[in-house]
Amino acid sequence: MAGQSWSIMIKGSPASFEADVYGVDPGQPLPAQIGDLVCWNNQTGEAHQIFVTSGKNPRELTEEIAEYTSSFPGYVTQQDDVDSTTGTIDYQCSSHPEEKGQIKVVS
Amino acid sequence: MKKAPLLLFIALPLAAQTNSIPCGSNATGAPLPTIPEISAGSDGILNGTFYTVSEQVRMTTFPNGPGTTPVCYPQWVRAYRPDAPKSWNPPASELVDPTPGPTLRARVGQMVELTFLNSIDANKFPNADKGGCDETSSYPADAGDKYPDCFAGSVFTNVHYHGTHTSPSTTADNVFLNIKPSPRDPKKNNVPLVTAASVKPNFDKFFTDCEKQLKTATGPKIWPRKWKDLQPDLQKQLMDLVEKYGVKGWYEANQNLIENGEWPQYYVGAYPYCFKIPEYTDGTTSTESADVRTPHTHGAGAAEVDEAAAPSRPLLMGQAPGTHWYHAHKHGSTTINVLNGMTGAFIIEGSYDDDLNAYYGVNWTQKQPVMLIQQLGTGPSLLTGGGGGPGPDFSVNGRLRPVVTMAGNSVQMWRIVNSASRAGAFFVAPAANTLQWRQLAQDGVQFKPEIYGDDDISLNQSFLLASGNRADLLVKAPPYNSAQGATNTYDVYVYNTVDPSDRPPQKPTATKLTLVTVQVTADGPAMDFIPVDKAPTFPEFLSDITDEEITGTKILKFASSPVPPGPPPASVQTIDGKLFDGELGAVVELNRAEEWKIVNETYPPSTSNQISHPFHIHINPFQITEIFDPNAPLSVTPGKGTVATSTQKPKQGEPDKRKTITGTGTSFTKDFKIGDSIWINDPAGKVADAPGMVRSITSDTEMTVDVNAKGNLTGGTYQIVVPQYTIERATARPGQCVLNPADPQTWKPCTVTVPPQDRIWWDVFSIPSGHTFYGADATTKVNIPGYFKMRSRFVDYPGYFVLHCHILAHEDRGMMTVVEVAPLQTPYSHH
Repeated sequence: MAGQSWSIMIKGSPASFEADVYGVDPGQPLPAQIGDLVCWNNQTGEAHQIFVTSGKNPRELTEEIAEYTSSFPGYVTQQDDVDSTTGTIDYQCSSHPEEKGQIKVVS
Repeated sequence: MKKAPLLLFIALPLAAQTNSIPCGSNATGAPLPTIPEISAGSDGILNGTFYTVSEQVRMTTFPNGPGTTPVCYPQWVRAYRPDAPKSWNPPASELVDPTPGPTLRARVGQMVELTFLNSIDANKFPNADKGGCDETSSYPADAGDKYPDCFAGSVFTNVHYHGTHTSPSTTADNVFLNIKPSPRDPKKNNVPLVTAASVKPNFDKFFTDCEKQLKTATGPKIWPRKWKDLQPDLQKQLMDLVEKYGVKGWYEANQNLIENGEWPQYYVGAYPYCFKIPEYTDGTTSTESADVRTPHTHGAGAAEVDEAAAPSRPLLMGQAPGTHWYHAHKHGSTTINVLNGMTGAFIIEGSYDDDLNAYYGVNWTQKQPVMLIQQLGTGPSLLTGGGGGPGPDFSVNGRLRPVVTMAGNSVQMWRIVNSASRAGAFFVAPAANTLQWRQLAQDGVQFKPEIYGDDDISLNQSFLLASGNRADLLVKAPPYNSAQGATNTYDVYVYNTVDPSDRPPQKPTATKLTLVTVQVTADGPAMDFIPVDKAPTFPEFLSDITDEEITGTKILKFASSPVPPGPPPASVQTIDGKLFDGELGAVVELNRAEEWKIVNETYPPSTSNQISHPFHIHINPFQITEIFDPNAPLSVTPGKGTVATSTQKPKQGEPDKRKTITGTGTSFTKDFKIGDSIWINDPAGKVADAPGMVRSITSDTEMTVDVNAKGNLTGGTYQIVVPQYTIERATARPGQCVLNPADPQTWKPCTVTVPPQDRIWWDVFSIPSGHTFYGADATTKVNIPGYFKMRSRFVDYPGYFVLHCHILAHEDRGMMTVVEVAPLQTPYSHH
């Protein structure tokens, strides 16, 4: 059922993305449904910004996330952002393009 | 040469991918849990630390609606807890079942001293520290909301002590407080900087001072009244935190408030709540007395301070002992906090308990179940682009359909609190030879013995607990039936409702929900409802408010109105045409009683279905004197045939919900009149959200209705809902009342709706929805509002507080206003 709220931690340097969710192992993408609310929790000492790379409209999903704060605005997952072959919403840090993460879209 | 292994590509079916988790054995049908308590000690002080934390819970959702099998997700929520968490950074692998806030328990005359800590880990949630609306890619833009009337600051919070008669100011029931979570130290494992230990020295001194000021006071004394009443060290600690960690502008705003002699509004991490639960002791009960109407003040301004500091009169009212509650009430975050579960019961004991215990046994009332109804969820659906709907299913003490165990023939007292953020729970009267109940109290105020003993009011009656309402019920189990064995179970049913049109008789097909199940075990000692002559003595200060006491009247108009051209849920929620802006909506002189007409100008279908906004006012309870529901039904009967076809034929200028209904086996011209409602049951089993309204009748088998149903209605059965009110005198049926569309003086009930004496006290009451009446001439159209009239004594405590709709999303989005109770004197009263 869509409308759930999820948190993804940004940890380490270079940063990795870790779903802060029961039952999801570190390194695994966050499973979420279309219409869920996602935020990123920056647990590092530097700023990051989330940029969606998959789907029809690559763009910044958040404002710059200052150190030790969470993202703004909240991101509501959209079908248009899904990679139709992998079923994922792929994102990376604008400032550090090597830092990549995924949201696995589920039903 | 080895051959490479043949790779076989087999099209395997994709495993069903979901992120739901098992709901666990506690979710549904588990024993009703007992909620942890913070109770007053032998020193007469309810003292404790109140932690607001973030935790990951097994959240239940209902893809197919309330009453269906839940689907669970791990969700981070905000929660009230009586103890420090095991870890300030609970790992993602930790999952708990939802649990309400601790039950607070104290007695009238006792002190409340709570160290409130906001230790929410704000980073678990989208950044809400911006000082504006919480934003997502769809909110607030799609809803059209603007700060401050939007979901905002979702991790900021406070506490409203709902049902308490105490000061609305400073450290008491002050809902203007805005408390930000403590900052965290990333260099020290992300622990909160503001802790119980860090504030304890200054808070303890404050509580000591507060006790000295209030504990022995018998009048309506308020302390602290001014910021300077706090010791300098506490002032400095609280303001330093705001200066260093508050939202930009908070510190300056606080300084301005202090300089103007007002109480600062913004805090970070911690706040000390201290107030006395007033105990009525004097014989003066009436606001009619000359002494009471001339409080010992010396004029405006500083004189108000004198009156509050050293009142020369006794309390006019005390705290009604009973079932009260508390919840988060920071404007903008109330909905999300309450949805997350930030609610709890506040049991205030007194002679009510003494009288019950004298009959049932020592401390009997303290052993009785407290049932906190919630609609648990992650966040308002508007935040993610959704809206409307009945909301989540009801949980009780964090569980769905929990089991209450009772010995056969025993009696329990259920203290029931509807702390849901949206829906009312309409309790269905128990069937014969099952449970029996007799209602003892409403909204924390006991019934007069005359009401308690009136079977038509209190015995086995259906009743509504709107969001915010409470009821104390004596519930008697039937004898254990050995032939039934384990099936000695009895469900307590409710309807999810915000309006009578959500339940029978207006909605014949509404789904009945099991709230709790009673499991009857072997018979115990036979018990019975306390006899009327031994029922709790009714407090003198809760006598009926008489005509002679009324010194003023007011009219307040609530309305959900469409935002052109926005469809629901983009309705705007207003009082007197205004969104909440912090300005005064009503001013009353202290120690006066007034009669207010509370009007509902919500007119469906322009704003979706009918909405009976639950009116709530803080600090003082009220009595209802008149109710006018223009949607009231006169009768509901099944139609004689079936709907054969339905054709959507919107003509120019007509709403697109208009359908032409034809039927077989029907007699539309005999059975229907213009303005009747018709419920059409989709043959596929789907039911419309709202009834259609008959707009024209062409023949026995064809008519036009405005109907909200989707899809093909062919083959559907129907019910005819005949309204009690009509505007067509010529075609009025027997029993119908005629309202003159040209004369608003006639827009009132045509029968007695409330008894003239022995009235019930409330602090939440649903305002009947408005109704659009159409004439048979196809041109007459008139909006007639619903309303109720209430009387309240605005006594003892001056100050500012709020009234609002208790559908909390409406409150957050603007349906709230400020009430000032002012100890004003004319210039000629100086002496």
